[in-house]
Amino acid sequence: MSSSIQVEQVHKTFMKPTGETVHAVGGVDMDLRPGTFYSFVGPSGCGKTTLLHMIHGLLPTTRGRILLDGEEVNGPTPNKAVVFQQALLLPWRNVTDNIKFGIENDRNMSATERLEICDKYTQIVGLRGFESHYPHELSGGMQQRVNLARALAVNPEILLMDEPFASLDAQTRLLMQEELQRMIDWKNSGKIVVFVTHDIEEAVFLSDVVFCFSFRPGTIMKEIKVPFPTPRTLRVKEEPEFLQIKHDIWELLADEARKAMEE
Amino acid sequence: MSKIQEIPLEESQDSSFVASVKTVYNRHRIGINFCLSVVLALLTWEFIDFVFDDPDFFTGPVAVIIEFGVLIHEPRFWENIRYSGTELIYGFGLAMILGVVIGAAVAFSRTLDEMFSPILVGLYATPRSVAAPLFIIWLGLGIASKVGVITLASVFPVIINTQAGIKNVQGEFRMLGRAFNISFWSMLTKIIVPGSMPFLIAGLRLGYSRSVVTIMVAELFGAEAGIGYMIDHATQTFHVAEMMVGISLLTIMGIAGNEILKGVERWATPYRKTLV
Ligand SMILES: Nc1ncnc2c1ncn2[C@@H]1O[C@H](COP(=O)(O)OP(=O)(O)OP(=O)(O)O)[C@@H](O)[C@H]1O
Ligand SMILES: [Mg+2]
Repeated sequence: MSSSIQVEQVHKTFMKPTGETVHAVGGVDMDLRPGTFYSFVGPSGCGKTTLLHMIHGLLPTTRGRILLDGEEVNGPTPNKAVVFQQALLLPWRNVTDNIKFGIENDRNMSATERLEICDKYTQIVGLRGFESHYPHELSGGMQQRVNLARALAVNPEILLMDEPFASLDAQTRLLMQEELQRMIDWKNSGKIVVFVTHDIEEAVFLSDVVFCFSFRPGTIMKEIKVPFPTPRTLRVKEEPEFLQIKHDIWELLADEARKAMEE
Repeated sequence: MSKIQEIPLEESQDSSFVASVKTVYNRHRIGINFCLSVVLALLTWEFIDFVFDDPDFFTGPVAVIIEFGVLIHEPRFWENIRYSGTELIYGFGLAMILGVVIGAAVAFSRTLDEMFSPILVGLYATPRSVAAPLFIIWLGLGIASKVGVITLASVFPVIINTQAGIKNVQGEFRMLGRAFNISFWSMLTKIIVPGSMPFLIAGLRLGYSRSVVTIMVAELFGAEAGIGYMIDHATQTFHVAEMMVGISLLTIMGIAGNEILKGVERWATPYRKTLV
């Protein structure tokens, strides 16, 4: 089974307790198709996280609606999983038990199956040997990898990732980019992947489609299709066409970033 | 070719004896420090006694231990301990249960919080020496009035800390739970209870100390027996040594209970670096 998501004229306005309002998302339309990897890029504070949370159902929209298979999203469902921007690990659980958090609810799974899955993703995110460590005993990048493994372990149809590689070193990051493609295999499984990042090269490398957001209130300035077949190897980053796409996005976002800084 | 200079780590110059003492100390640090503090307190106490040098006004630990040896042969002495112990167990037990229930209620319901928090804060500020006579009027001279005073004195830290603990996990961790579709029951057992545990135990420790301190106040305004009663009686008849035995007993109760709760804390929250 594969799902699709429609985002229709979605707005989000936050009201602070002081009465001040922030118009974070300003009318976004999207049509997310199964078997596609999407990236969100845009200046800091333009509403990417907010939109991601609305797609998951963690936040209600202020205006507009989000449809999953034709039905309005009004809360999280087990076919979606999210990698949070902050690691949000439970301090009283070790690495294995934190990774297990999302699959504990699945009654159809036996305890051994759960452990096998945890073990597999512990290995994938390179945390072998740290299974019994508590979050405060891990580095920021390691915590972030637990956060990633926790969502991957659910093996959801819709995978929402908010800057999952932000605190990794440059080398690990490249390895994880390659690994992620093999791991999710969205083309064959018909998954929808949404990936938020500030790294334009990373966005182009991983995605079928890159959404470029304007400054707040965030709207989509441009939707860019990346034509290279997937899975890709790091060599694709040197192709002239790749560099051209990267350059175009860079130009587009530079103006928005300037606006963000001037505010 | 540049050769990287290896910087030797400062080798400790300790003889093996000093080194082994250090190792032993580090391994049993908590226990050793505890014993040292007890010994230091006893020595200070004995020293003050030495300076005063008047058994009618002050007695040192040696004299108190001797007095204790005399008192343990009197059934009244054991009766007093049993009486105060019972007050403490019921008073603090009740405070624990009420504190957790009320704390959880005001944490989960904003209406209840807004309605009752001002009252709770007001009651918290009421001096115990005012409450004690009132409770005697209401509940009589027996044990019930003492339990009431002790509960009243120690319930507030438990309420406040329970509430703070639950509030602490209601934002982001609740969102995490929601994001992974956990049930209400799982939210309670996997997020709210473990997340508020450190706060709850801190509240229990505060409440317990207040319970022990309040034994004295509760028995001061009329009682049939008890350690506070014994201290009061000894004071009025100038039995300084007996009075000191009573005070020591309260201190021991305070320390013992606190150590037990610290043990519970280490057991219930093993993931935390112990801050004790
Ligand atoms: N709960 C909230 N209450 C008030 N304002 C909020 C809240 N959450 C987000 N905002 C505001 O909404 C705007 C968008 O925030 P969001 O986190 O979606 O940005 P972002 O694009 O993810 O930024 P970054 O790239 O820095 O993570 C920001 O201006 C932020 O201040
Ligand atoms: Mg964000």
